[in-house]
Amino acid sequence: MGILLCSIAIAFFTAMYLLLGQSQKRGVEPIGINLAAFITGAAISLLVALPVSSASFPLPLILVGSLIGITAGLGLLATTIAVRGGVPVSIVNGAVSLCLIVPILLSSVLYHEMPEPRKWVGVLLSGVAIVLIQKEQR
Amino acid sequence: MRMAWVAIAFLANGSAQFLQKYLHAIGLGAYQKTALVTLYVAGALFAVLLLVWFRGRLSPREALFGMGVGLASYAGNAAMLRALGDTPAYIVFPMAVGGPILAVAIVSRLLFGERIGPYGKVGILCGFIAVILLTVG
Repeated sequence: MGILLCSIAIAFFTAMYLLLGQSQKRGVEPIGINLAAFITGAAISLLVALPVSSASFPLPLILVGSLIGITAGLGLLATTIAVRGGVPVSIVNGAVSLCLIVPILLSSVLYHEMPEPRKWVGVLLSGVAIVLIQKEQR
Repeated sequence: MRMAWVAIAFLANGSAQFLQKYLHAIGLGAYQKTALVTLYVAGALFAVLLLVWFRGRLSPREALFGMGVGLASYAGNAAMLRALGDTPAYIVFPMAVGGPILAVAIVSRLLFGERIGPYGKVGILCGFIAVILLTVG
């Protein structure tokens, strides 16, 4: 089931990146897209979650959920400043993509989700794939 | 200083991903739907600040692309958040983060006829081997 859900996530994130690529080619303002995307996400998620009550939003959920949105927003802010400051987009995108190592390492340390050696090779190869494909796109 | 912002982007995005795992770890996995509401509302508030700070633009073109991106982002995040409930982070994140980069390279070649050079070919091969290693067994 998890692999199926990952495949669904891949399909939708691929569509998202293709749309972002097309928007860049048409000179559409990324910060405006970002705001519209978050508002759309908020509207859809609220529609899907209906009916909601105060019990649907326990305090820890509000804290963690908001923190996810804020850290994602901070990531976007830092990405924007770095790109506008002259750091090549491919380097910024590469760093952002390779951040997957952060949750993997934290989960292995905190929750003992320790990959077996074969899976570690898979994680490392996915990192190599990201670097090489983004190097190609420079 | 410019590279410090790259480091902040790396850590902030990595933290956002880890927090999705943390949500399940603290027993809030049943609240995935409302977690996405808080995530997107907080993100939207941050995005407003960003728009004001950088004097961005939100014309109908941005809105149209943004709606498409928001829809795809929501569906992808909903699937990823649900996957984290019963699948280890070391499988979910390489697939959900690396998979789309691999898929975009392939789709761009097939649909838009973009050329894939040697680095790209080796990268795609590594990506496929990674997917097999992570998902089989």
